[in-house]
Amino acid sequence: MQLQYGANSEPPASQQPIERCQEIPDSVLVGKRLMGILEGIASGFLQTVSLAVLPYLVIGSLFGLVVGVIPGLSGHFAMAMAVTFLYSMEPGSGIAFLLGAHATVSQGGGITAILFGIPGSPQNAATLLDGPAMRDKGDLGIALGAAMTSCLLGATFGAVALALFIPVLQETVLFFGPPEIVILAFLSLTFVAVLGREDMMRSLIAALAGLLLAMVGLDNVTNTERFTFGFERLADGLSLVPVVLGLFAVAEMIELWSIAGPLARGQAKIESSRQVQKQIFEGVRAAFGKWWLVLRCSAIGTLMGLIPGLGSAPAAFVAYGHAKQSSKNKESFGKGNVEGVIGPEAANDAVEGGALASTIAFGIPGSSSMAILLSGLFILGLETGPQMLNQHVDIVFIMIFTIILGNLIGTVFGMFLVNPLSRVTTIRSSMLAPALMAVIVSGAYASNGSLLDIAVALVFGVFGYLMKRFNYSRAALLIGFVLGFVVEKNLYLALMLDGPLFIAEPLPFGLAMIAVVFLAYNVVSIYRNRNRAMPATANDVPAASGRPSAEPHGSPATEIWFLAFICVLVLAAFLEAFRYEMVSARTPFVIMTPLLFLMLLQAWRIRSANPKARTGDIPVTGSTTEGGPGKIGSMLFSMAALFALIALLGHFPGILIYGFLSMYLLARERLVLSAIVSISVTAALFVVFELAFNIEMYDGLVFRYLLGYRDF
Amino acid sequence: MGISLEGLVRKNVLRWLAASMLAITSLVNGGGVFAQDAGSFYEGKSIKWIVPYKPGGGYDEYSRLLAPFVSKYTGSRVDIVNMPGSGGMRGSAEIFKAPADGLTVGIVPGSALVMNEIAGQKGAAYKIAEFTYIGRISTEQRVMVVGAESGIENFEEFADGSKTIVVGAAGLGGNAYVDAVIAAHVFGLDQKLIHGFNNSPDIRLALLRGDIDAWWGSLAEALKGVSDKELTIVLHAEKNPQKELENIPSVYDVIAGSEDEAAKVKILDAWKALSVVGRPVVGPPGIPEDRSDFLRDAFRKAMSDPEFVETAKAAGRQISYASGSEMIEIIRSVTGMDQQTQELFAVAIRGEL
Repeated sequence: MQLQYGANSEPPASQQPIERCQEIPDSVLVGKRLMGILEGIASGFLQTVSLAVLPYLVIGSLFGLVVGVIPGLSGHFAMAMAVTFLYSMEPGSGIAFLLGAHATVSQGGGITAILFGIPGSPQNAATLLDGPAMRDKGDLGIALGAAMTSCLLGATFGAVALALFIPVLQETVLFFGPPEIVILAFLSLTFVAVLGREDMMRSLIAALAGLLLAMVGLDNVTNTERFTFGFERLADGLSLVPVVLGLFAVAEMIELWSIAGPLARGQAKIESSRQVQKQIFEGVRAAFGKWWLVLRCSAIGTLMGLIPGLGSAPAAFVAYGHAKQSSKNKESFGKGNVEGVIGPEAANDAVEGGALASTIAFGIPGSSSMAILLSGLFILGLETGPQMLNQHVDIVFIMIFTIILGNLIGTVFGMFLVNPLSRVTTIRSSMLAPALMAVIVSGAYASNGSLLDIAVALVFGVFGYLMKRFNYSRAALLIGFVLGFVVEKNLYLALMLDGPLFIAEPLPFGLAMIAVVFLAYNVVSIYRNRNRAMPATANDVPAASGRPSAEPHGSPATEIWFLAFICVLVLAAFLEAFRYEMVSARTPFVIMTPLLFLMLLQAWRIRSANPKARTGDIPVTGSTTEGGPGKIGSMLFSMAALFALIALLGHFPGILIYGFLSMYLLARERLVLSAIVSISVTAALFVVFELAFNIEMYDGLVFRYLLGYRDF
Repeated sequence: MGISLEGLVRKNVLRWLAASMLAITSLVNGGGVFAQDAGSFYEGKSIKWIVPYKPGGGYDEYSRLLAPFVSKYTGSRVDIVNMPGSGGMRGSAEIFKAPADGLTVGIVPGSALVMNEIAGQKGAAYKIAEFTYIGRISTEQRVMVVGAESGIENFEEFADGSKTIVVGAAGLGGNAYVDAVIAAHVFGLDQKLIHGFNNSPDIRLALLRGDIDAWWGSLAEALKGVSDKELTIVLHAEKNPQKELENIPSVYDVIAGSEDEAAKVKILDAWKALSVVGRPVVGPPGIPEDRSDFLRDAFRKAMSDPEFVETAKAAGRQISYASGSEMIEIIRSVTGMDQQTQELFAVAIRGEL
């Protein structure tokens, strides 16, 4: 056995990874290795900033930034596109180009999130909790400056952590097996309790609903298609991109349409470029000022990046929860607290360093993006794993410096993007909402090339809008959705591998204890906080201060209808689950039983609450209800029409007709203006998706029929 | 914006015009549109090449490597369209129902398509035997590997079933799963099969941690682990093994001289035939013969273009060409396996073995 291990590695004497960590080999070897690493740092840095590499890094970073800004296109896409250019590149420049394109995606996504309330990529969803609220307060520049700086700092932290871990990288990666991942994912789940401003009961309902949604699709243990209800295409499960776009972006569009004002609500008038510039620097200073928060959130991001299959969206939410929990000013979270932007943006970029670990240490990719990176490295003629760690550590440092410098470039250029893009937010909603809607459905389709995803985004849009109105945490739903599958799969594997007592093993047990302490702390602090914050109100309606127009609330009666509807869906799922094998059905049952119970409890709570007191609490201000149900109705109708048009006539004719009709007929804009805007938007999307990124959009049934497809 | 707008209008108008013209002519001529010479037909056209997976995987990489060369020998532009879903079934079905004008082709997961059809998987909206076969890009060589942590060094240690080995696999009925089940059945191994892993990287990590002992994977993936001294190949399925597999027993060596050898060989042959299907390039059924011949010819030239061979090698992608007619033979031999063997595979895929 010993012979199988190279001179630079330790003998695998024991079964427990942690013990292996302690058995560090001879000090001589360590010294030699350290020298190699120091040389690697110098060589890696010099290569990265050399003229042969730097230009590629700049191009890659800018490409990633643009991909990030466009909703629906994510880091995976940026890398897949970049790979095609690698065949003619030198290793150094190839890595800089490829990884640069991946590193800046969440920066670009953050810009879209703060400006438009649309997550540019899924990992920016957590930024939506406070970013757009800051925009509404008139602090747009501060939010953007802080977000981009936190990204840079987070990425730097992750990269430096990766560098520091190089000597024990393999051991670190092997540390996380199914039992440990179950506990960590569970720990992340406990953060839903502190995520939003919403009350605990509703957050739990949302989180459980999210977990249930994660169960949709093929269970590969038994090959059972769960909860697809006859939709064959749902067998792959709901994809993250359309769900995130729907919950947050489409919901925001519905609200925007119903409010009928500019997107940037709080701003009396748009600041001059100078003022925005000044704000950006204020934001930069704010991020540096909160360095301790940045550090902690980056650590969360890096740690969660190590776990395969998790992705960066949950890391950002956990970081948000942590930022809120540790803040002195918890009440202002969700109303435009800069810490609520700094936390998630630092975490979602710090993930990169962690995610690279298993790819570099063993050549085992932890995510689809890392799988592309791996094949890219192969194309460049580089081997990952021990060979790279021992012989090409300079390559690892090129990656590390690429992440840092790429983010620096992204930050600088991102700041130039802010001013022109921020003008867009002042456009009135009657034109902006249909235009952004066209952007959103394009992104939803492009992520998988699936018409179903457009429908998913639209349905989740309605769902997200209602959740927002009734004060259910969309963040909690999303984190449940992302973690549900990870928890179920790893729990199953942990049970299969180690039996039910896996929890009693030292490592998982220690982590579980941490989770319990954490949960207890969360519960206690929330409880104390609540007693202090609202001693008088027995109920959960947030204080009506801040920006009432952005805090719409449904009436208790409509909330009961909403709950009843969800209840019917869950009951249908409950009955459906009886048809599955026990292995596939047990997790859904474990989720649905408390879910049904909590929903009944919530309905009872609404009914028993004094109706008079409630209606008095609800801020029914003019701007919220302007247009009222009629506006919502027209929006829903136009969304259905949008889907039908795309399905029938094809993507671009569909969004063109939809845009024109929404502006001209529904919003009663001028004919020429409606035509010009809708044509320009369609043309711009055509240029971006079909020409620039070469993504084929849907042709439409009519066109497919004429071409001779056997769809019919 | 002016140019792009113009382009947009022109492209859409032209698309509609072209489609309506096509529809009208085909109605009038009753499908006799395909009268013109195939070479000039493809000149300046664009071929839609469907990849039934996300960008970045093996199928995608092969396609992007080959596309410029297909373009070179057909005179058409090759547009790669990723259409992920249902483990490659969605994109494969899209190819199957595309118009048979020879302008839509794609790469498909051959053995998975065959297995699904054998197991009678519902939702398989294609008939494997009816595709138009252009050729094959590569096959997959399957090997059994053990992790360094398992303490196992060769197949003999557990060949007689005296030692329980823990084997990992991804989905029920997936490649690694079926391989493991069939092997254990034929060799009489004492096997604890744990499936439900996400994908092969997941399984490799479990091997490294020592959570599982062994795994059936592709040779390319296994060799990487071997060179890092993390994995050991203990068994392969080749009759003429390449250099890296010398001194490692093949599945045929293991059963040599055992009772029921002939019956076992039959199962192993059928099993081997499945992996020979590999990654074929196909078009929808009914492409006019002159066009499919033209495509096959162009594909053959592209696959043997020295520059392509060179890039594929540099990218670490094994190629193993088979012609369209050879592919038809291969498919015929797999789908034509006898009832008993077919039943064995069907229960293996369904997880009932």
